Amino acid sequence: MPSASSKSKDHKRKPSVDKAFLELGRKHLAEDFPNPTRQGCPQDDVLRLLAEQPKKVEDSVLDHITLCSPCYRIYSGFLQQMRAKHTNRRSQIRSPEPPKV
Amino acid sequence: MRPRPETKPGPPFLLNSVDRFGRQIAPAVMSVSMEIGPRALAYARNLIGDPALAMNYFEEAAASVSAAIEEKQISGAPAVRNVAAYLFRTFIRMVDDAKHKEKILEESLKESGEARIPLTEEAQVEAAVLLNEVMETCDRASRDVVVLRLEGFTWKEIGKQLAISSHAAEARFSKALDHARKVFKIRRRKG
Repeated sequence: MPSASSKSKDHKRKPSVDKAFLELGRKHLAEDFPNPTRQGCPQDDVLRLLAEQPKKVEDSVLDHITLCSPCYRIYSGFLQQMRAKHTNRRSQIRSPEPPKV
Repeated sequence: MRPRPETKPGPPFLLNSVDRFGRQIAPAVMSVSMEIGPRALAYARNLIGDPALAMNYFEEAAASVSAAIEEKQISGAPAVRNVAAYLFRTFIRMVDDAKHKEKILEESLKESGEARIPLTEEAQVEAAVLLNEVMETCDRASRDVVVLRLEGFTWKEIGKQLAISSHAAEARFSKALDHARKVFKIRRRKG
């Protein structure tokens, strides 16, 4: 059984390693798969659906975005839009506008 | 919807029906190869520079995939889900391996005083290989988690998005990455 000290060391080490992986991994998907003729690309609506309700979209679409940088970037844009929308909604709930007098 | 920019068609893509070892490429794999070949080669050219070498690797990958599909059919193993993705990832793995071997060779030829290859380039290749491994071998839920995490989502946000707990999201991510790292280390050791 690993000692408590090695466990805490692992715990400390992982975040920075994962952070580098996330940064480089995102760059890899967004830049390393040029598809200038847009072969086999799904419609933007499908990419939006993948961002909003991933379970409703077929595996092949997820496979595609991991092999096509233009689609990945569009999908990424939809994800960020959706995230911003959720954040705005949360902040509105927390600080509702004061009632008009 | 945003209109897609029109692009000029590139030169015709020609592929041999056998690889450099004389292994046959199956007709089904050949047709998929013709579809994904141009962008696969564009990716490889960025990494290894030589288009002829990239083409050799692509033909090798197509022949290997043909053999793997045939083997699966004979043994009754589950069929390949997506031949295009399978071929692309086989090819990328070959290119990455070649790049890694090239680096080892370069390093061994360099004199001790010379500058070494920057860590960032190596880390980039490692991240790409790990990610490809995750995308190739993990189940759908794990792949969803990894993609959302790449986009900077928190565990809580990922859990909400995929209707799982934040703990389950984190566990899936760690498991997928640990598995990919293990495979990566084994491949490195084999050289």
